[in-house]
Amino acid sequence: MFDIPLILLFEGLTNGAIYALMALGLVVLYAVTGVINVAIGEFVMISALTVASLRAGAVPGSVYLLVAGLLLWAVYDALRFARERRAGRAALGLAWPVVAAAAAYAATLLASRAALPYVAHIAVAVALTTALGPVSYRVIIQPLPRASALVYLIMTIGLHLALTGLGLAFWGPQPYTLPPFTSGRVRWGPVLLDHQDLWLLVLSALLLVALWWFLGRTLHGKALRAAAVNKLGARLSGISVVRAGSAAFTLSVFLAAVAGVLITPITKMAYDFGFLIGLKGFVGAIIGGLSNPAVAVVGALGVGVAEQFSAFYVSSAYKDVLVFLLIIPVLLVRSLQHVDFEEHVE
Amino acid sequence: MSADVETRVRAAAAADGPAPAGRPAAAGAEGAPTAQAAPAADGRPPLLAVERLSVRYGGVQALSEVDLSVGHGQLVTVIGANGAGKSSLVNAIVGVVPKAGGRVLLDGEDVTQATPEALVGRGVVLVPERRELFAALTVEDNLRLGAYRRYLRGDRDIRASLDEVYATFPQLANRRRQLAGTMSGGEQQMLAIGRAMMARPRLLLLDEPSLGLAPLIVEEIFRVVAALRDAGATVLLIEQNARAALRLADHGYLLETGNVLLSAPAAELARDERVASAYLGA
Amino acid sequence: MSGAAPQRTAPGGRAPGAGSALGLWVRRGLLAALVVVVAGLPFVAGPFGLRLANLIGMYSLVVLGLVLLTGYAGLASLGQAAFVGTGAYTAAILASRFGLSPWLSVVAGIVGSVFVAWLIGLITLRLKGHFLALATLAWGLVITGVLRNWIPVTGGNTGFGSATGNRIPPLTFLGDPIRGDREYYVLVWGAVLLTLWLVTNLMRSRVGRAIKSLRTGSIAAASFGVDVQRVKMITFLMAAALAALSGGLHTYRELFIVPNLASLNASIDYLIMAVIGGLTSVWGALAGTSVFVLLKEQLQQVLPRLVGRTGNYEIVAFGFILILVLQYARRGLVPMVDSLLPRQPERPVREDAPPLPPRERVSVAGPLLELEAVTRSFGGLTAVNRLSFTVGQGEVVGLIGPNGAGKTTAFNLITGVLWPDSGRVRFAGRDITRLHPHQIARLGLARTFQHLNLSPSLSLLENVALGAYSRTRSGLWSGLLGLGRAEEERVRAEALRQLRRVGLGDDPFARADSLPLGKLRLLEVARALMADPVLLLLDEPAAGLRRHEKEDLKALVRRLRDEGVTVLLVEHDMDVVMDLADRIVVMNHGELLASGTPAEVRRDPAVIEAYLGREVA
Repeated sequence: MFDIPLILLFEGLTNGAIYALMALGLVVLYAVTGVINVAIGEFVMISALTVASLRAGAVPGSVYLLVAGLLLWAVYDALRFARERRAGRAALGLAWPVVAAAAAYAATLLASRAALPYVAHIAVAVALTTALGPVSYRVIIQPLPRASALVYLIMTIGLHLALTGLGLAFWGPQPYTLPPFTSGRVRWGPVLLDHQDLWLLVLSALLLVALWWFLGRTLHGKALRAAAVNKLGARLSGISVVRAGSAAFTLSVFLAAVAGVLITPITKMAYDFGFLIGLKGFVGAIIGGLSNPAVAVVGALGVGVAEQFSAFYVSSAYKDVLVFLLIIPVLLVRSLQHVDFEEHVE
Repeated sequence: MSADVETRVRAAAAADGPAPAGRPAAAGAEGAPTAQAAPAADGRPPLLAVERLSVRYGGVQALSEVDLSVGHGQLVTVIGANGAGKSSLVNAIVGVVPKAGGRVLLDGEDVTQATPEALVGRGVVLVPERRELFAALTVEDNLRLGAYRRYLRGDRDIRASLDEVYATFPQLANRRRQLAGTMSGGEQQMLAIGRAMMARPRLLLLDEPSLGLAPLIVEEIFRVVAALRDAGATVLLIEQNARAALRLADHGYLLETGNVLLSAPAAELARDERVASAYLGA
Repeated sequence: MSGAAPQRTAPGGRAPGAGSALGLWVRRGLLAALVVVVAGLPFVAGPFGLRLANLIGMYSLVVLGLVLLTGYAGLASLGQAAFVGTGAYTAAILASRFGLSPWLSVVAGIVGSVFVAWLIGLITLRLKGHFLALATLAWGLVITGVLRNWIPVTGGNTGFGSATGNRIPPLTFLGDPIRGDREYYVLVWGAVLLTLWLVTNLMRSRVGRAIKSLRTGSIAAASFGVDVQRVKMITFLMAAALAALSGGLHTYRELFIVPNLASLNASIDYLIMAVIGGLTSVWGALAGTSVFVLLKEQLQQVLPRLVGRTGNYEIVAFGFILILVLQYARRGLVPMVDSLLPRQPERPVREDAPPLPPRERVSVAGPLLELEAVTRSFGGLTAVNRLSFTVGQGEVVGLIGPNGAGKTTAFNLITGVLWPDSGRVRFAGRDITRLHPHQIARLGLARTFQHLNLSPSLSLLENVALGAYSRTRSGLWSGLLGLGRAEEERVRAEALRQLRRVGLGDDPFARADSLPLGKLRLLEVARALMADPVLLLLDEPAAGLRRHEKEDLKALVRRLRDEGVTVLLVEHDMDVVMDLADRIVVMNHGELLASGTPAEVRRDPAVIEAYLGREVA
């Protein structure tokens, strides 16, 4: 009698784990920087499709993106040092992004040519995608340190459009698939799980635990939380808020990159699949009020489960609709709790 | 100014007695604003020298070309009525607000462009007016984060500093795991000072530590500040509580609407009637 | 007025050197050119050009709604396209399945969409900026999902219309069907021009001023009588109505619609159009839409050839454009061009306009304002503790106390910005403890703010004019139709009068952010005076003023007292307060410390200790 619900539960948790990784990244990023990263789903896509390119022996388009971003970083820094008249720093500041760009390109080229094992391709792809994190932060967010949350939101919409279109240009419209990490199935009562499902669940859980440990138990993680809680206090304690912001952005992109290689063997990936995954991660983040990572993770798991249940019991066509409808009561409850009386939009 | 206040201020000053030995007399005529605080006995240049510092907020001159210095091992206080520019002064020194002009020298080195984070690394720590604690983190986390810069440099001696802070503030030791935001005002102020101490500062800047606190707690905090100074720290104390501050300090500056009105040894300033009129109006 | 004599203001408030005839004619020329282009296009353009022109027109309607909603009112929406969808599909389904007349079906589409918007607004309009954006994203996806999946009703992804077996009768004019882009052009651009006229009227009216005030802080707006929730809702509904109209026009243009009309991608496109053209500019809506449509057309030709494969690569370009515009040209195309052109002269103030009717004089037996054991805590901190004091009619009372004493909290408790945990606040005998700021404002309380609450990009005159909101009547419809002009002239004349009264009458059309802090405080006082207040609450008015400005302020307050205005002021500047106040109330640690005449308070040992500090062993 509980067969179907159990199966749905596990399928839901599988998807939900991915949403949880996204939600956690979104909450940490928003807490530290005030940025709502609408483009987070694109990093899921980029990571997965980069692996696909490497496996096919081709140079993935994402490396060109990274190189361009690093060169832009060098340009921005050069302008800043010129304005502040710090020539000494300028030389170093211009050198390392260029060197890094060259190194990244060389490494990626090698990785595509050499017959590396699957796991090496995954490592390269995740590293490459994660590197896009601090680059995006430097080029998009850092130039406007005091913009409103709305302006950041619109800029990440721009990033979403750019990355989606570039994804189409690099990889075309067709879905790609990746082989599972190991093949095989496991039966647990009525539930039949592929090895990849297990990999996904276990690795996501490990990652979430690692993050929980990092944020809660290490001083670096606490510094990040401190920057989220009180920027001025953080600066006065010696914590660089800009570095914290970049770290938070990078962390969220890393989680998305891992999510991409975990989910693609199960559901395939195309240039526009990432966005929907990101949006569902958003629902989880919103359930956590964009501030509580634990609630966001649980909420995201709930979203995955609710999705499966509503697909089966209500209608598979409307499952997305029902998931997004979930946001409304959550927001309503949150809005009634807020006693803020000052809103400035500029 | 009313005769009553004058009498009281004189009486209070008389009760101080002669200045204890070891505190050098001031150079410069009484009442004339002197740029230098009295140099420490060993004749070194001041640890902190502020030259012609100006701060502007949207057209209002909060600070106009202020000169100030703090010698090694001294406790210098800046007093003045609300709106005099005291907070602007320390906020600008540390880099929290932009400077509209002037220089800040730390042990002779120009740190005018330094960011607050960098200054912590150099041993200059500000305890701000609103404490700016990490309310959602525990007392111990707040303290450890005070030593973040040291941690980044590889200094692993943080445990010892933590023990020192707990010894100085037993109330914090009893509340290690308590969230900073749930503590009383006095405990929060102690935590803020403790967090600053964790950075092993050469120069400690305190912005109105007595703000909103009951007199008994203020007593205790001032005791701690005095102990810090006696142990060799250099302190710049911003205070609205002029009497207590002048009692404690070696040297004092009276600010009014962004200008230094008076600069004198603390004992002299405490006797000066212009202090009272700056606060209560002529 | 003592102090420096102000420069004699030219009649009508026109400051010398601000805007020239050239500026006026350049803009009139541009407007004329636009009219010529719009009027002449159907005669010269081919079918392709007309198609683009119609698209630009239909999209502009939605973007005009976005300008109102996001640009002026500051409410972010990522779901406007959803209302295009509801408007389009409602019209199509009613006309096709239920035989409703095409024109009526468009109206029904608008009404239906406005109803849906009302329900959504009830839930989401209380949310903070970015939460609102995410909420609009969510219900946009919900509505699109319904349109895509409710196949029996909407036809799903294959679309709805004559091509799929649901015949939609065309719109008719005097019996003839309106077919083809050339004829449709008249309809679309007629609608656009009508909308431009209505919106331009609205933004010059009383309600338009209220909408504009939402963006820079709803507290100030509420303090002058604006019912913030209601104005937000009105703006939201108008934007939805415009989107729904656009949807109806989509339906009857090709007699076939697809759910993509309502998609998130479409909402994002509208946002891009608004940002490019300038979120705060009505003309920007037209400009941004035109740039977007034309650029998209070009890029859709060029880019696939560059890449070597078909596909919508233009979104890359628009993504970069969005980021670059926000980083380097935040205000958008039209405001930037406008700032490059010579300034045009402002509409002069009609100083002969009759003054606004004065507020009814209040006469009470007891004190005008009374606080009774008012207490308010935040978390563990008690900011105000059983505070009780009174302000008598015609008095000037000063509220002083050391830093952190709770004075501004007390102010906020009086004006309804905060509600006390316990205790009562009474004004003219009436209990106002649980009233909202806009309700209290309407009773005759006006205030200034310690941290200024002005609109930096608006003129002095516009900022001040908001103060008279609770004394004036002109509503939404008279605003849209431009009927409230007479009242507006009276408001502007009054605003100029108040500006002169505080010494800011030299250049009433200067932007507020060009003034130094001290003058901005006077601006807030002028705005408060516009409410013809019974009780004036001044929050640190002297902070940042120079000596002679403080003298002017004192003289102003004395004159107000002579005219019968009661004043309660919080002030740190002892010279100002001791000189001005009839009575002083001293707070410390959230409690009442002392109360009496300035002389008494200055001698009070408890007060001295509170300020100078206590001896610490």
